[in-house]
Amino acid sequence: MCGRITNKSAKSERISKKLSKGKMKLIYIVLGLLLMIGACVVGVFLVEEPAASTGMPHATIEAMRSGGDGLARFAPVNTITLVMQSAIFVMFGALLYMGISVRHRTRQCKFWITAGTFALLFVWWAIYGTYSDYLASGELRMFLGFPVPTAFTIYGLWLAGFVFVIAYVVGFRSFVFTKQDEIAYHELLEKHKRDGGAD
Amino acid sequence: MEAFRQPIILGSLVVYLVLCIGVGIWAMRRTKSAGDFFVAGRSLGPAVVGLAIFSSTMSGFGFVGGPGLVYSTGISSLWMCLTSPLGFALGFYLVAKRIRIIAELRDTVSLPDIVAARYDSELARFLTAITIILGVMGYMATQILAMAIVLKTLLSSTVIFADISLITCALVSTAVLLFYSVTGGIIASVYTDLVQGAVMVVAGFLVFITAISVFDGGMQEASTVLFADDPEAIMPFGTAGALTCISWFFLFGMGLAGQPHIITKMMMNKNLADNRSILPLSVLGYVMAALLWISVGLIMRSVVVAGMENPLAAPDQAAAAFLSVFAHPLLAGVVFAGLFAAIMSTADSFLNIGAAAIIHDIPRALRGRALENELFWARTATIGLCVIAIAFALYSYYINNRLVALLGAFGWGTFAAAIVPIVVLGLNWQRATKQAAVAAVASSLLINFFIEVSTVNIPYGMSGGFLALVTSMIIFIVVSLLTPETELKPDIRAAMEI
Repeated sequence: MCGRITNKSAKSERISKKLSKGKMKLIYIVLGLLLMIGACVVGVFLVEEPAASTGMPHATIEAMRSGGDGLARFAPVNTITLVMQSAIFVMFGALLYMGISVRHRTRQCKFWITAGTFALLFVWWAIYGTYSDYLASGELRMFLGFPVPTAFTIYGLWLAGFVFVIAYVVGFRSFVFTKQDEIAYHELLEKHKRDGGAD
Repeated sequence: MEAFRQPIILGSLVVYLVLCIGVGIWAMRRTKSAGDFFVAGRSLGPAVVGLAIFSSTMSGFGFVGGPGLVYSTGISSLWMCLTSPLGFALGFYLVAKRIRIIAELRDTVSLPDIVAARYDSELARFLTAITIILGVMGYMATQILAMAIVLKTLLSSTVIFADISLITCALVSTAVLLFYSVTGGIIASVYTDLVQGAVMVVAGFLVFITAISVFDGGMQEASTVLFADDPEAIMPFGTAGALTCISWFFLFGMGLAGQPHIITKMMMNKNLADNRSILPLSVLGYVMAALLWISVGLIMRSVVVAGMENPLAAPDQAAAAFLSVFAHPLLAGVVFAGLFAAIMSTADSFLNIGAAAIIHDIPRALRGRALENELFWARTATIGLCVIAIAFALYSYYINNRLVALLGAFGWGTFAAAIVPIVVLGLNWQRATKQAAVAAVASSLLINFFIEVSTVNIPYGMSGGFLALVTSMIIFIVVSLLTPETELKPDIRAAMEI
C-alpha cells in the first residue's frame, strides 16, 4: 500500500516536472519575442523622426488632424513596423498556447492556435502589403466601403481574432476544460474541504 | 415626433436611472456578506457574466472618446477596438479558468487575493491593491466628470433646467450610481451591467444602420470624401501613424486581460464550464457596441469635411452632434441612455474593486487578517471613494486638471503593465517567483509615473503604456529566471495544472 502511494507520488512528481518543463520552453519563446519587440522600440528611438510623423492639425477644420505625406513618415520605419507587429502576433499565439494545459496540447489544439496565428499574420501582411502598394502607386481601390488596406484592417483583424474565440468554443471540452479536468477540479475542491481549506 | 426630441431623450434617461435604482433595491436583499458584495457569491449565470464583462470593458470612452478620436484622427483609434476578439480570447485562455479555480479554493473576493495566493506574498498583494486604488481614483474621476457633462448638456437644453450647474449634475448622477453600488454591491453592478450591456448592443447596432445611411453611397461614399480631403485619414493607420496604432493594438489587446474590473468578473460565474458561452457573448456584445465607435466618428468626419455640417468645437462632441442631427428621437433616447449605461457600468465595477482593495486587501496585507464586519466597511468605503472621486472630478474641471491627468496615467496602461505579467503569465508559468511579481508591479508604477511626470517625448507617438507593458513583462520573466524557484502550495500547483 505504502509502495503504491510512493510510486503514485513519484509519478505525479514526474508529470509535474514535465508540465513545468513544457511551459519553460514556451516562456523562452515569449521572452525572445518580447526582446525582439523591445529591439524594434530601440530601433524606433534611433531612427530620425520626420516632421508630422503623428499627423498635423487639419488645414481648415479645427479639432481635426491630417496625416500628411504617408510615404515620408512610413518609409523610415516600415521594416520595423512589419517586424514588430509580426512578433506581436506570434507572441499572442504563443501566449494563447501557453494557456492550454500541457496534457491537452493535442493535434486539434495545435491546429486551431496555428490557424489563428497564421490568419493574424496573413491579415497583417496583407495590410502592410496593400498599404505599401498604395503608397507607391497612389491608386485607390475599394472593398466593402473602405480602401483595400483599411478593409483588411477592419474586417480582417476582427475576423482573424474570432478564430481563437471559435476555437475556444469548439475545443472547450477537448483542450480547454475537459470532462477529466472537471472531475479533477471537483476532487481538488473536495480534498481542500477535507483538509480544512488550509492554505 | 421631432418636436418631442428633448422630452423623449430625457424620458429615456429617467427610465434608465429609475431602473438602476430598482435593481439596487432588489440586489440589496441578496447581499448578505462581503462575498456577495464583492463577487456575488460566485453564483452568476453565463449571460449575466458575459454582458457584465463586455459592458465593463466598453466605458464612456467607447461611446464618447472613441467616436471623438475617429473624428479627430481617422482610422487610428480603431486599432484599440479591433483587438477586442483577441484581447478577450487572451483573457479566457490564460486567466478565466485558473482564476475561477483559485477563487473557489481560497474563497477569494478580489484580484489581490488571487495574487497573494499565487505568490504566497503579502507584499505582492499590497502593491496590487495600491495599483488598483490609484487606477480607480483616476478612472472614477473621469467617469463622474463624463456623466456630469452629458447630463448638463441634456438638461441645459430644457427650459426648466437651463441654468443647472455641473456640480448639481455630478451629484445627481453620482447619487444614482452610489445608491445601487452601496446597497447591492457587485450583484447590483452586474445586473445593471446586464441592462446596460443590452442597451449598448441595441444602441450600437441602430446607430451603425443610421450612420451608413447618411450618404446615399453608404460607407464607400464617406470613404471617398475622406480620401479626397486627406488620404491618410482613411488609410489603415489613420493620421496618427503606424507605430501609434501598433502600440495601441498591443496595449489594448494584451492589456484587456490585465484590467482588474474585468478579470474580477471571471471569478463570479457559478459553473466553470459556462466560460464556453461567456467568451463569445462578451466578444459579440463588444463588437456590436463598438459599431457606434467606428461609424459615428467616420460619418461625422465625412459630413464636416464635405461641408454638410459645421465643424465641431471639440472632437468629443461627435457622438452628441451625430445624434442631434441624424438620429430619430427614439434612437437618440436609447443611445443617450446607452451612453450613461457605458459610463456607469465601468464606474460601478471600479467602485467595487476599489472598495475591496481598501477594506479587504490592504488590511490583510498589513495586519494579516481582514476587518471585522467587512460588509459594513465595504459600503462605507464605496461612499468614501465616490466622495473623493467627485472632489477630484470637480477640482480637475474648475481648478486644475493636472491631478486627474496624473491619476489617469494609472488607468488602463498601468493596470496592463502591472497586472498582465503577474496574472496572465504568473497563472500559467509555475517558475514565476514572488520577487518577479513585486519587481513587475513596482517597475510598471515607476515607468508610468516617469513617462507622465517627465513629459518625455516618445517618437512616432508610441504609447507610454505600451513601453511600460513590454518592459514589465521582460522584467517579470528575467527576474523569475534569476531568482530561486519557490515551491508552490499544493492546491495552487494543482489549480495551475488543470
